[in-house]
Amino acid sequence: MGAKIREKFAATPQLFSVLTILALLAVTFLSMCAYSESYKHMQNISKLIVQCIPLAVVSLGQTLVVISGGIDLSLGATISLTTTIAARLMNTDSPAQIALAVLAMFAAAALVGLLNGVGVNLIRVPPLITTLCMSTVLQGVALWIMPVPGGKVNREFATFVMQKWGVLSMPLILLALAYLIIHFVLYRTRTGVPLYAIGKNPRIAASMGVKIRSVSVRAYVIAALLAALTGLLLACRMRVGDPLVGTNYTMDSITAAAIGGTSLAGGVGLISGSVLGSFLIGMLSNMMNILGVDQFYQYVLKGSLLVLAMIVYSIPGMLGVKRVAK
Amino acid sequence: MRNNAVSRAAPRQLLILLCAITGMFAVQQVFLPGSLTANQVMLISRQASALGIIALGQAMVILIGGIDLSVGSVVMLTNVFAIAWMRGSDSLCAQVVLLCLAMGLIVGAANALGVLVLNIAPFVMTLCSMTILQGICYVYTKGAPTGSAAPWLRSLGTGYLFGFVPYATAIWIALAALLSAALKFTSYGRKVYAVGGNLSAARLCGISTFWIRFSAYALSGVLATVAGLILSGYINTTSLTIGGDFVMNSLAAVLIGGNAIEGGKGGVWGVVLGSFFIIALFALLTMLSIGEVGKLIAQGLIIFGVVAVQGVLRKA
Repeated sequence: MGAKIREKFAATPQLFSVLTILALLAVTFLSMCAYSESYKHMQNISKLIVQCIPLAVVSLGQTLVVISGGIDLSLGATISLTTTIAARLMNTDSPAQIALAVLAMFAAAALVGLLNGVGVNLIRVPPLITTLCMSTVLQGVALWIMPVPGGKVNREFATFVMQKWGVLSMPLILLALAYLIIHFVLYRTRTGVPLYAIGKNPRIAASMGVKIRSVSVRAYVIAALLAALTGLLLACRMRVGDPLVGTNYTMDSITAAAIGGTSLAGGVGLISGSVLGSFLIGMLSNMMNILGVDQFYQYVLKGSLLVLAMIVYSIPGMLGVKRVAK
Repeated sequence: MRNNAVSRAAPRQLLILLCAITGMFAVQQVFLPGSLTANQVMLISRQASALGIIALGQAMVILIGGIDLSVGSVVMLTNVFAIAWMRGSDSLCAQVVLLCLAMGLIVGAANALGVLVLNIAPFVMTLCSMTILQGICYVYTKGAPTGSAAPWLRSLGTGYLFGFVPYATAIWIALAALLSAALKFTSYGRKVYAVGGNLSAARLCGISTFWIRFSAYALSGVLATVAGLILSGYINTTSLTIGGDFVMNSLAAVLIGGNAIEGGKGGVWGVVLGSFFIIALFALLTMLSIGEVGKLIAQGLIIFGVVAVQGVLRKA
């Protein structure tokens, strides 16, 4: 058993970072529990988890793209776009139209992902430029659909999506589903290993018979679909559409992935790390809100805490390297 | 041996950028006859100078294989502190300028130490310093900045050299020429390309990779400060949104200029043209007054188109 675990760790050193983040999360959580009685109530925990979920969902997609050696700066704009689509189309009582609206959101996202993939792989524009331009265009489209926050999402549908049962909640179930699907794709299908391979070295991957383009396009499409899911969750939470709601999610999703041990150079990464990373980001801002830190000081603290977290997280990495070297 | 592999790819990309810029001026001439004058081009170049100077620093960091997301916040920080300390008089101007440059150096050094010593990914480290710097600006100004720039800084931001070339443009081009010379003709430049091209090979060749990478981050911080000073002189007030789009636009300018995001490839003049192209595009879209939505969509499509054409021709 011990040997097996050691083998697993040797194969994926990122497991160290995942465990470290888990420990950081536990420390944050326990110290908050000690600070405030009401913190450990089921209701608060459930609320906290639901707050972190949109970022976790979108960072799953970002992680896939980053593993494949790209980067997707258009995810935030995709989120904004899909919330505006939702708010425009879901102001209705007919279930058929709501289903149609959900379909439209995911179709739009799939198209965005496809265009990103085509731009990067067929037209061969660097991912950073492709997705940045896509982000600008999508922002324009979102502002065209809805110049200011507005519209409405059907109440029953919104409550259905945001439903809670104790700690369990519909968003959590959706996240778990998304996680399981991505996990399945990464480790049980013929998209998974090639995805890591093209991130690590596209030339060698190609010479081993990997269809680089189709694998990379798939990563962009899945990422955009997950952004649409995030958009759906946000639209149902706010019950309005907001053409600027996604702006911060682009950078935060990349940060979550990087915290979780995903290398921005591609080819290395674990989706569990990204989910935990986004929970860490969410918990830090939640913690500062509960402690009543001034809004302006929160910026300073958030940055410093992240640096601190990254330092703590790099310690086992260094130890791990030494262990392997021995 | 003079950086042959590095500079050979560039001329074609520069040519396409020049074509794109000429095309934009042609469009302007057709739709707004008589608006295209040498003075107007100089005005655009002054607007482009801040982005251009920032992009020079960004290009250095990208050359060594990193990325600097803190440039926008450094501009904001410089703007806030330069104007707060100057109090609209010339008496403290020199000290304040030096202090600001030192501040930019410290930010760059902090980024470098985070990346090099603490092993934090450049993206995360510079993102964190971006957030921290923003916070410092908000805390210092309490969200309501006031003040005005010293006359000397104002003349730097708005004045003209020989009555024709804006000081800002002159500084931008001078810095670009200096950097270009340093990259092309000194051993330092060759080491920068070596480090960006292959870090471990550079280390094995006996290059002090730490100091090369450190210098790139530090330079980026200082150049962002210079841009911040020029902008402060130009707008003559403090703005908490001043840093806004500089990060993304500087990245775009560097990549449009033909530099590779993986590092080790690219030059300075491509970045200069790239910055000018982006700002000229913004100016053109504003002059055509096609509204926010159309502007965003056109902007995205045109930048993508130019890079796509560059890519197609590079393959051929």
